Amino acid sequence: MRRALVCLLTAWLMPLAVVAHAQTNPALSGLSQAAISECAKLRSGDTIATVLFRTDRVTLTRSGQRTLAILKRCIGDDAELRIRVGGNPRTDGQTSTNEDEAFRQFRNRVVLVSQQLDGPRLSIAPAVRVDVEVYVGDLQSLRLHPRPAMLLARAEASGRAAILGVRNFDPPEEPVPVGPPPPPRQPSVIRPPDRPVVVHSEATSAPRIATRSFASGLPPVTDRFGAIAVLAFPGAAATVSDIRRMGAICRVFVRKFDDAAEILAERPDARQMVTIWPVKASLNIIPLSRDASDDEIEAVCGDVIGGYDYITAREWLQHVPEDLRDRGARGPYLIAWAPPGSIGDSDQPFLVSDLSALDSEAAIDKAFQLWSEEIESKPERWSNGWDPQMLLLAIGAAADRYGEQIVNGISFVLGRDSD
Amino acid sequence: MLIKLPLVTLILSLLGATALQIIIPTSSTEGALAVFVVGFLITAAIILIIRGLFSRSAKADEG
Repeated sequence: MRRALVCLLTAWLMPLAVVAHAQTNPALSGLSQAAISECAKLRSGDTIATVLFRTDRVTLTRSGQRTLAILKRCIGDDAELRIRVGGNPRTDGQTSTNEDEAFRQFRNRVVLVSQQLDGPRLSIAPAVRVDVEVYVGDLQSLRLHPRPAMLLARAEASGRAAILGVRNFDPPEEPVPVGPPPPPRQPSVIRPPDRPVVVHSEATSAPRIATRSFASGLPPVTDRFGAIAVLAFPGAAATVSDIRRMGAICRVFVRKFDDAAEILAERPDARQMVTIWPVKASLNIIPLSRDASDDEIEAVCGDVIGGYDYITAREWLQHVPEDLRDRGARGPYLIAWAPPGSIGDSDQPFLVSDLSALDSEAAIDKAFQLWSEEIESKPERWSNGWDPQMLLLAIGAAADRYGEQIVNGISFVLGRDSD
Repeated sequence: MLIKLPLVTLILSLLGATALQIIIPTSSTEGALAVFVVGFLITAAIILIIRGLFSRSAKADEG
């Protein structure tokens, strides 16, 4: 009874969600002050990023042009900024869906180099599939935000332009030696490390956007991420209802959050609060837009449910303090850390949300909405544990689950046949 | 006291149950009905407790 009273009072005193507002500085959009100061150390010939597109046309975005202008200004007029456009490495007309393979082969097959940076558009015809490599000259110790990769170019196509992958330049940690300039280096492809590599993160007023990613392992942690989160199922779905529930969670996951790569292209100045659905490394997931069709979502969800990486999920769960998770709970748990490199550090802000009690798609949708709002707020404002709205969701889910028994019980008490 | 009237108690309980049903999200008819009934019972219980407290204090005043 006491609990019920508390619930009732809680419901009446339900607080409103807080929406974080952030302002951006248009003059420095995409580049921080620290990044600009690093420009002086840049050297020609380095690749800052590689972006693979499946498209027939590449357009420099407005923010990309702005970034180029900033880069040109800070590295001087003599420096050369290049966009290198390469053909698809596959010769059989098929696009490789294996991102790593595409990157590896692409490096050895550059078919077109364009320097038309003054024009906003590079038309590449009649290529059906085109990979784009973005070059910016004079980059040495690049501690720039890795966003230029997507700042510089955006794929356009008559149909749907799919981004096959993004690789960002990962600067060496050692200081730049003083002396004659070393020979130009070949473009390098950086693989995501097993553990997050933290690039210096600074306070920024960039807007926070909750995004999602189907990823194997941990992505490289950079400034572009304000926080990193994971949707962790403690154990495999054993029953048909568990698999159905996982499907509902996946559908909501896709629809509720924007794709991380898509946001990177559209809002490169934003700090992504990315939530990861861990998948096995062997799985190739094509980036899925938020407004994808039901069939596309079903297809991808079928893949990611079958290819869910439970081992990685359990590793993440081990970082969560015992008092914030129930043993034997079916999950999933949403776990976030900020800054992303602080995974496992209990002194840094982290956020945990247990969705074990939720069954229906509507309740899961609401829970993800709450998660989205919470994770987009400042990490200092994150609150764990007792969340009135999550409590209401859990009560609603319990009512759905036990509603029939309750109604039958009442009917029995009232002396009526439940049938 | 107005709260002592049974009809007022009934109306307040129904209001409490409705409020609870609006606040708590459910996705099934049985769930919604369960929330309504439980909400009604909880609100009625709270009102009865308050009534009891008032009655006790009134008796104490008379004594």
